[in-house]
Amino acid sequence: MMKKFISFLLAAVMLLSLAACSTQTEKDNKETSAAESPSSLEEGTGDAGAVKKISVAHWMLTSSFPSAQAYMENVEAIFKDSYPDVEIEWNPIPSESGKYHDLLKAQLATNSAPDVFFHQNAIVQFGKADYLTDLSDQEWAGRILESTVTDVVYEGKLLGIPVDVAGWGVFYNQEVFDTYDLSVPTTFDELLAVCGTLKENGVTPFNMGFKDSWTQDGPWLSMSSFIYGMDKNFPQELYDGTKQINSEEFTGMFEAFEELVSNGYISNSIMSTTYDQAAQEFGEGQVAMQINGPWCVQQIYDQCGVDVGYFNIPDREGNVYMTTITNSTVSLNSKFEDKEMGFAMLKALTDESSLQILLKDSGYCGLKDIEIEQTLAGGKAYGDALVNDKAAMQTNVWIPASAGQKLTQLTTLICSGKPFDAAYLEAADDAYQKDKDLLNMQ
Amino acid sequence: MELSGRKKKKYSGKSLAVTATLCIFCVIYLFPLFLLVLSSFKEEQYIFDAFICLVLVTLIII
Amino acid sequence: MSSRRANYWKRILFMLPSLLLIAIFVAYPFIQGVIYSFTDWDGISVTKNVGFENYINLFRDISFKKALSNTIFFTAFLVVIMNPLALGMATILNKKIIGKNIFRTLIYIPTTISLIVVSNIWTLILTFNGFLNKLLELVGWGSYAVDWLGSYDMTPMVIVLIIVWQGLGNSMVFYLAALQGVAPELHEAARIDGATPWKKFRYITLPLIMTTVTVVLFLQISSMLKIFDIPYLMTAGGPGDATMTITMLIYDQAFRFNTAGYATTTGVVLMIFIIFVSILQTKLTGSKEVDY
Repeated sequence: MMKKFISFLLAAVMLLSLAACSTQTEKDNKETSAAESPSSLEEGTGDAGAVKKISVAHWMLTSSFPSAQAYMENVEAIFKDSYPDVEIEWNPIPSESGKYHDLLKAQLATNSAPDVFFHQNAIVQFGKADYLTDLSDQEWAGRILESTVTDVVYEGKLLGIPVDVAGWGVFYNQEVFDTYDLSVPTTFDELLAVCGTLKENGVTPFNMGFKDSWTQDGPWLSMSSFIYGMDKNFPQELYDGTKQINSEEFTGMFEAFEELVSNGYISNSIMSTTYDQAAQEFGEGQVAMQINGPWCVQQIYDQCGVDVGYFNIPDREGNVYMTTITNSTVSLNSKFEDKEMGFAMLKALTDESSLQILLKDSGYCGLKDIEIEQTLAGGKAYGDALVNDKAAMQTNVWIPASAGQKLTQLTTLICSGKPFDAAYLEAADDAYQKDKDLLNMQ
Repeated sequence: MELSGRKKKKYSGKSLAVTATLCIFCVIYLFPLFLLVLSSFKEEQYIFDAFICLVLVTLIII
Repeated sequence: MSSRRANYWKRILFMLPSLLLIAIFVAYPFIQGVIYSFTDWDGISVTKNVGFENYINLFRDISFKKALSNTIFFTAFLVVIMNPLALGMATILNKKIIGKNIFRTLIYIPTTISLIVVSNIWTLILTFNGFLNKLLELVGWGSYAVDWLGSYDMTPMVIVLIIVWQGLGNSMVFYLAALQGVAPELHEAARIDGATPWKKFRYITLPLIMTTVTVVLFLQISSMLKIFDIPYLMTAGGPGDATMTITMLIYDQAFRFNTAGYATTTGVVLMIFIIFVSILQTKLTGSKEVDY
């Protein structure tokens, strides 16, 4: 009898805890969405006629991003100058789920998408489906950073504003470099020498946290000096069919990466280290360098109090290219009828005062007349490289994602100890030929 | 035969040996779950699954 | 006669709601999916018919061939490792031993743990600085320490073993139920006739539980051919393409490469493959079923 009673009690406790968890989750969601909406919708305003609204969606306007609240307040203040009676609906797409882009695509297909939305790497898809308003005759047309043009212009029409640009390169722990009297390498062989010195002194030269698979693209994205250094017109020639991915340019790049791995300059636990673990090791000085993007500068400073330096990986001849891609583009839904109101919202979202709040110490603007304030040395070094190094398109702008996956697989293959295998470059070529229509190239 | 009339269960030596082997097997087989319970003290995300494990084990013992 | 007809229509009426649900949520999406497999749909734009181009490209696609060979590898090794283990465990736990109920439940527990937690726990054990390598160093076998999730040759086998660990209890429960349905008199008679334990198992037990073996194999094969979660969570298909499976490829094609039409082509081919393998397997094991 006692056994049955205790068993029943345990089962009841289990059920109650299940119910409590789901209630708490619902409560958290409600609190989060309430906190994120400085201008929430009011039911029953009492006035005759519907309240005018405009909805704005961005995956970064959540409580996880410290600048989100201040950014939304600033945008609202600017927008209300022109449209004081219009309500702004923030975050109609629940961005916490990590499925922002999937939800956005589904909503666009069913004509229920937000009026103004941020997006990433989708200009061809959205442009083809005619979801975006043409901004070619608006004020932003003459202000677009050259390296971002492919991300925002489709078939000659400006369909979005590049808000945030970033690329991949090498961030180094300044303290470690100073300890061993190392300077920024100007050729790939100098980089190998720097790695050699670090390894002799018990410091791991590179670790990037490949357990989080999004970081695995970093090496082939950051070593494009090997491609542009040999042929700066490679992307167009590849598209025209006069060049292939299985070429001396890409082979040279991967052989250089293989050299880093075979000499033990890349951590041997890279495949099982997470991004945060790698950042921690980097901040603590156990690892000297990371292939990463400018988003890491603030994180490492907050986590470990360490400021970082930056350089782009040079090729063997000393050619250095800075490649970027637009991290986030903002566009106006083509179905939104009041275009003037839409343009006013875009102006508020891309106003210099708003972008200084959103991107300070973590991003760089795609509008060439706006320079974002960087207080950390790493941010300033990245900004200098953006201005001083030769600019080019990031590789994943001019090869389709299916081909990019083969390059990532080759990267992790080499990291696992296997030798470079040209079959992966051939597979990338096959994928390229199949999917090149998805590219924004002519 | 017990006073109540029930036959007392008898297990052979072979059965005891099999039980001992199974005990060792279960310790190794369920080691990841021990790790789960230990990790739940450090990482919040494991608490619910560790709780389910502990409830199931308690029900078995009862 | 009229009451028979009335009964007939009553049965149809009772089935109607289920048939409607199946039509809307299963049949329609399936037919739509097959139609999309003949288009160049990117997930949101208007589709354009490309005929059999997707199918021709798929059979030339190196990624598809590698993913298919990985999937077949996982399935074959799972079947070969899991079934003898589950059957052996069920046979032992079907005998009179101390604490058999406790052992049955303990072995079943890993099946109840969520897959995300399974992947996190095994990552803690298998990473380069994880528990397993530390144990190997402790016993003086440090030279055998590798990155168990970062080795092109070892990682696929490691994934299979984790799936076996997680699913053993489930298969064992099926076999246990089947073994309890075998009449003990048959074993008694065989023992009197001088049959060895192995002969008893081979000629009495196995044929009688073959129905369950058919079902268990069918469930294992059909679920392994669609395996996604553990390889995706633990290795994301890497290193290289060592643990890339067909369903992971479908996911990438649909959501990362924006080639949804091509993804449905892969899905249709996978479905045909699963049907073919399942029919083959059920015919093979079904022919060995007996009833004494």
